[in-house]
Amino acid sequence: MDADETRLLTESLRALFAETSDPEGLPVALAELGWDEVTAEHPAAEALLFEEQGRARAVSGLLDGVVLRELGAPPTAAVAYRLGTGGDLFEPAAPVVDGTVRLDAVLRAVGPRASIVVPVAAPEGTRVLRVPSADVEVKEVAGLDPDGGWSRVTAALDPASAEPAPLWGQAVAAGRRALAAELVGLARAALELAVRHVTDRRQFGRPVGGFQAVRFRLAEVAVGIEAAAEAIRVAFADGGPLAAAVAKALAGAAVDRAVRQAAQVCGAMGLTWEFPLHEVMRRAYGLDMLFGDWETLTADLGRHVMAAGTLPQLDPFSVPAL
Amino acid sequence: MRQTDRAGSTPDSRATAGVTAVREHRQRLRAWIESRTDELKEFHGAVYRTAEAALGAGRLLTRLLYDHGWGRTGWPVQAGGLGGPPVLRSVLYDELERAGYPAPVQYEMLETLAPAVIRFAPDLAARLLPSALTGEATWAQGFSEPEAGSDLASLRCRARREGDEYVLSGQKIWSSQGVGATRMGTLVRTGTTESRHRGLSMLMVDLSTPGVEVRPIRYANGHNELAEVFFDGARVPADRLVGDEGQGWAVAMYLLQFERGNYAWVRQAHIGRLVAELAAHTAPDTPAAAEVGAAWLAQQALRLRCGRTVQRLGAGEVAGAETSIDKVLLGTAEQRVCDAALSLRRPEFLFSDRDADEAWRSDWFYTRASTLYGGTAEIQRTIIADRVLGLPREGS
Repeated sequence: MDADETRLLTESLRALFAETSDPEGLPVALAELGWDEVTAEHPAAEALLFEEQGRARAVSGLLDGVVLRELGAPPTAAVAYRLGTGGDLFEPAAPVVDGTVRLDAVLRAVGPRASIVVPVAAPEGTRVLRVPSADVEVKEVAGLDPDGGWSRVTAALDPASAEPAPLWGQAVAAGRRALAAELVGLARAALELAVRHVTDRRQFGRPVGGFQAVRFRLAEVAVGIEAAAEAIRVAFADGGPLAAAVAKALAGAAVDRAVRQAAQVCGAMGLTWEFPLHEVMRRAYGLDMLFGDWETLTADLGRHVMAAGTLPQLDPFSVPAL
Repeated sequence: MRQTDRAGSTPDSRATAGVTAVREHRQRLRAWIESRTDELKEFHGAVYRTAEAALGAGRLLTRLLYDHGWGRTGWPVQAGGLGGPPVLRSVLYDELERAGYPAPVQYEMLETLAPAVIRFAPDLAARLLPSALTGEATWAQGFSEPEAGSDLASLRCRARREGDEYVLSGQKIWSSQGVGATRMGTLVRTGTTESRHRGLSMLMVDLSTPGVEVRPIRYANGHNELAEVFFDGARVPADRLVGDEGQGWAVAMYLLQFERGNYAWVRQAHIGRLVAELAAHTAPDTPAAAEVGAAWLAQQALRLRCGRTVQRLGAGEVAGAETSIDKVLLGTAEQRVCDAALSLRRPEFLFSDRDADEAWRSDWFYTRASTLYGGTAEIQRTIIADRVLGLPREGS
């Protein structure tokens, strides 16, 4: 995609998210936009979609769509995103303890789903259980992000019917890339709120954005965002699990930094209910936890690097320059 | 909608061909390095206890790489190279460090200075670059002055035109690799002091010229990493101008892009080797994993970002204010990696006299300066605030 195509697509997506408040209407609106043809020609356009979803703080089942597509599973299921940590960096899955799958997960699905896809860390490799939704208790949960459309599911399941899932690592990588883009969208939203606030708000007879201490905080935010954005670009072109994990770790760190600095420079105003920064924070931390929060990913990547014989290095030159 | 040229290739297909060429070059180079472990033995994992020793070893390795063609690849044919895209140079530094051979320090200054000389003074590049590529001549950069650091446009080192010569008087300071350098890209004032950045010019000055004195500055790590250079009526031929008289600021700004391109790339390759060392010599408990992971991520973030800048500059794009982001990532990554060594190897870092630990200490001190040189971290954040974010001007 060249710069013009990217700009046009971004504008279309931004308008689409602004006009579509109903999560279940989103797939229809995307179909009208011809989104499938866009991603068929430019797989990396998926980054734009998720970045705009993050920026709009929209709720949808798009993430499940990406994961299930890579898994070769029907889009009618919901994906269980495990809440625990530990296990394989590239294939997070529910552990089997004493012959039972201990599931504690959240769902990101919108509307009723016939079944839930539960990845299981079996000794012989990741397997997937398809659990009829009626067989487990799915509870809507407000938690930190009441508008996020989250549900939580806990269950003890029999792993006997789990099927081999050789594509789970690939599905996780695709999910991480999408999540990274959504987190960057949220980080950009926080930065934009902050830039607007410090430009308008005056103290001591000048905009607070004219004070070096304030400017430096936001410059730091921009650095984190652009580092993550570049990693996302490479991750989409590279397609591999390591690049996807790096992109998600950097994006999680970027949005964490963005909301903290924005909360400081927007002053008390920024922490009121009516100022949307808290909504960005809520969504960002919720999404960051899926497929590994950034702090856990950082340590897991450290373990991966220490176990490798040669230093793993991503290759920016494997990606054509724009 | 898509542009297609006569050969039927689209921008996309040309870009893909570029990716393939880089990959094949990397494979050939990697195979060559692996086949020459005997020839390269003296450079493997080498730790130099002085800046002069590092430069001396760098000279030998540069010569060896030149003779085998690797050190000429990606440099223009007219300037002693073998041609090909500049990104092939990046592959050289990457593969050397990956295999455990410190990239010659000479390349750091060459990658910063040479693109500007090639761009603004191709004839001069044709005369001066060949001896730099062989390692025989080393280059340094003379920008800062005692009274002109972050406020570079206030520099006062004068060059007065007399016939076919410039007569230099004044002082430069903080020149990396200035000790032992053959010549220095020197930013001088040819206009009035009030003309600020409009009255500057860039000259390639031979440091052996009468009236030039180079004094080493012992850096905090104990090495003569830096130099100050005094000019007292030194006469420099006018054909040593890089760009036109009065164009010095534009040349300097052009040059700084490459400090965030291939210079930053050499550094990320270097600290990548340090991360590898740290990973190999640390027990993988949880705090260590978090520390190594953060250091590696910082290095990868820099690698991806400055790799992109290398590609953009190679394609002739202007990478402007946004390269300040690369520069902040560089400072952050360099310090993060060396801080990880302090944190994880504290007893050795503090109380061991092994070469490897002295190297960590030396690098730790060296990387304290990476948030200073080429524009301090504060200057970079100011540029980002002004020109990337469009914030109200400071004090406005």
